[in-house]
Amino acid sequence: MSACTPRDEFLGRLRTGAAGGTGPIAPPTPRARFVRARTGPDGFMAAWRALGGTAERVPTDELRGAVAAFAAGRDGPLLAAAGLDVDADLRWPDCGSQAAAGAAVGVVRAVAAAAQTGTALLRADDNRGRAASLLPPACVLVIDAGTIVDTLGDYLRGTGDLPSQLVAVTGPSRSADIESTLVIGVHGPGDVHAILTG
Amino acid sequence: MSAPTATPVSFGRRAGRALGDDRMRAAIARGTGLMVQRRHEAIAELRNADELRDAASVIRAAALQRLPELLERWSDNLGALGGHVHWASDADEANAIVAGIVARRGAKVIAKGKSMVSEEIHLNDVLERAGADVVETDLGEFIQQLAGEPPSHIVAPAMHKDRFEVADLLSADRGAPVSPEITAEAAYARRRLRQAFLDAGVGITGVNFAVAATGSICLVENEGNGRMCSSLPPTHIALMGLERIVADFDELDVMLNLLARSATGQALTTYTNIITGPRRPGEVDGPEELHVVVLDGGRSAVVGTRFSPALHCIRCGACLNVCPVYRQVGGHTYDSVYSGPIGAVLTPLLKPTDPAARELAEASSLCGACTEICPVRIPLHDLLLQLRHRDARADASRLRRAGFWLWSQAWSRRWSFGAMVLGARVVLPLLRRLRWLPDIGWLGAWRQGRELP
Amino acid sequence: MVVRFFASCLVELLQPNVGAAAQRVLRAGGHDPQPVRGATCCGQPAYNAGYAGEARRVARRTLRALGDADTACVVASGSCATMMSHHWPELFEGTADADAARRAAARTVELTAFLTGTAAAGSAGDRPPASGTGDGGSAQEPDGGGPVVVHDSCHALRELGAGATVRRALADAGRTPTEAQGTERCCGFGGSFSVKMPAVSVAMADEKLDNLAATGCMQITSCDLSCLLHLQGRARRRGLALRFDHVASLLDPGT
Repeated sequence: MSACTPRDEFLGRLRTGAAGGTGPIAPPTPRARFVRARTGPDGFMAAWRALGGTAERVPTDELRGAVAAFAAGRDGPLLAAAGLDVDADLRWPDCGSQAAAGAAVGVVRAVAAAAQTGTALLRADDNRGRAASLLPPACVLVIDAGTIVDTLGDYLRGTGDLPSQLVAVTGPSRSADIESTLVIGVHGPGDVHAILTG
Repeated sequence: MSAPTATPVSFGRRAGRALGDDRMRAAIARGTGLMVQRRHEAIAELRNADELRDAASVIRAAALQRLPELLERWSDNLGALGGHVHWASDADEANAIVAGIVARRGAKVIAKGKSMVSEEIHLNDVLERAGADVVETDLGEFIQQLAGEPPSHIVAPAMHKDRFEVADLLSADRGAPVSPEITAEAAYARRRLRQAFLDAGVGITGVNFAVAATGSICLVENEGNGRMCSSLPPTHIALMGLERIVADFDELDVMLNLLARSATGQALTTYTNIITGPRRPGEVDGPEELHVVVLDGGRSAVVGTRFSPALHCIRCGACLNVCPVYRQVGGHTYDSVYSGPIGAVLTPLLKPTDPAARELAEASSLCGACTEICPVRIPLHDLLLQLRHRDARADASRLRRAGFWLWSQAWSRRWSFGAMVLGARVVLPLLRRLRWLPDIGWLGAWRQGRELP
Repeated sequence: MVVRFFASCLVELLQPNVGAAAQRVLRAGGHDPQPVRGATCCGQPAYNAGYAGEARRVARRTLRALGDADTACVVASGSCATMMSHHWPELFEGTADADAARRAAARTVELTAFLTGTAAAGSAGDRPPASGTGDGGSAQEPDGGGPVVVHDSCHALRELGAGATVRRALADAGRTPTEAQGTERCCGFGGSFSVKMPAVSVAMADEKLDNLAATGCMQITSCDLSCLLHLQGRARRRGLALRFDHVASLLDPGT
């Protein structure tokens, strides 16, 4: 490969420049405290709705029906991540990117959620992948109510192994790049529906 | 990208031009005003904002003190997961590394997310010269690419444009009218850029934080283009400044609690991507290759100096939003990649031999609004003052130096100061009465728009 | 109580009546202000422009004139008080005057902070009477006692926390200040900035003046004469009928 500085040389410049060295430094890492604390499934749903998403809580055995009801009448196929127990027209990744991009709704399972900020946590491992929650304009996030923690920080501290990608989704895709005015649904899904089960 | 002007134009001259652009000034005043208001509301949701800001300041300082150790740990961890870390001393090296990967992968289309480092090294020029089709996919960056302009704000690159200017640019791109409504404009960008994500051989993004303990990179964004760029193309290249490291998720948590609140007034951005290596065996999608290019670009010379707090910056843009100078003249007047107070501090530090960069330290009334709002408590206005002290000896204006020397002689003796007091009482009323005054030096500068006291 | 009083070079040069008014205010509050004879300037103009040596030469003159007594030094300017209390220790570090500068910094207090007893160096509780009667002496036309709007100078607001004390001092004197939009935003003076970047400086003044005028108040006050002269100069050029008075003139029992 091309003109890359060897790591030792690169870091060596910092060793001469850095003031302190390598002593054990443990900066304080306080947890955020909130004026209005949101916890549990209700807290999550309130935060999620405040961001512009929709949310419902159903018994676990009614998940199929809830997904079908959300997808009903939409102009295009329903895409689900492999292994998710719902009725789907397309399965990611077998269908391929072009087909996935043509789906009307993507359904994925979140491994956890953070109530305070209304954040669903998606992992790329275990056949879930990345694209099903990203390409279609609408996304259903299935969340086991028992996996809800208070904050993203709580989840990160508690997780051991990491997949190649962990994405914390906090509401619908948005932008305020034109006239600082909020628009929903730019590249990612603008219509996001959380289904809490259990 | 605007070509560098042949003859250097001073900040004052550029500001003069910007001040004549009422449309731009209205857009900036509105945009920065909204962002400040949203930031205040989001920070007010925290019970312990001050505690978090203090901690963030210490975390950033500690990271700089143990940079070699943290970067080594991070790159070892990322390497063990199959990620490639490249070390670039300067812009040329960084560009060569990226261009080399693009060539080796045979990528024709490059989908690019927002990256200030890529602006710093003028990466697009290099890749386009090599024949690649580089598509900026952040809505604001896409608009700026169509306009042929660099971003004017760290967080909102096209803040200086109104919806009608945006509609003109998008219509020209489409070859048919795009309605000047913001939702229609965003919808056009979604359709237009969708295929680029699917076709791209390489995705390029920035990095907000690298996490030493896990070898991760964290990328925050709202639109989903960063997710696309880092998920769909078979190769993902991420660019980061060498200072952008935290030790672990505890530290990352503190930073994430402040970054989006300070930038856009959100508790968290819509997407917080934590990327830990390329696609693993058994995973169904994601890039086959992950490359992270770590740029020095003049930073190592700042580490450990009295100016190192400038490297604490997490690029939230809050200091731009509150800066009364930025508010009047916008980002392009700074004629540097980083604008506003942080740009006025960072640019002369990263480009120590550039006299035009030195001038930026003068583009401040030292009002301190930047220091007050900075989430990681960078003493920005104090650093601007220290830069003035550093550079005063090299001041090209001998007249200015001589002026201050003369002033100090007159003001340090009571008799001569007394003479000045008497003089002021006699001369000022006379000057005020004169219809014509020679508009030279400070007198002329003052009278540019103001009556004498 | 004896206090040292430093009017600032700008007051001495351009509006000595402000210095006289400040001393009357102090006396009305039961203090005995002793002007610092031989003082000229705090050195700020050169310091903020990057010329530390020149700043030190001038500031040393004032520092030595100040003497080393234990009394508070009351300054009729927020930015000069900031220079003395925040920057003098650094400016004189490593020189023969380092100790004196640190002590002077600790004694320095802005006028309204002193009057409202909020600064450490001031004597808490010592407040001027709500209104005073006395012989006149202001060079300006009388202040009508009507509505007034406070311009917050950045130094006073951010370094000294004096935004509140100017208002409190006015309230104590029976004046309820009106609030302007964007009061925390700089007026564009900034010392050498005002002549180094005149067009930007004036544009900032314009926004400030628009916000001040929008209150409907015709009178503007501040603890910093420098901001007021800059705003006044711009207001006159624009033909705005606004009046600018240092807060000492408004508190002056003699007017």
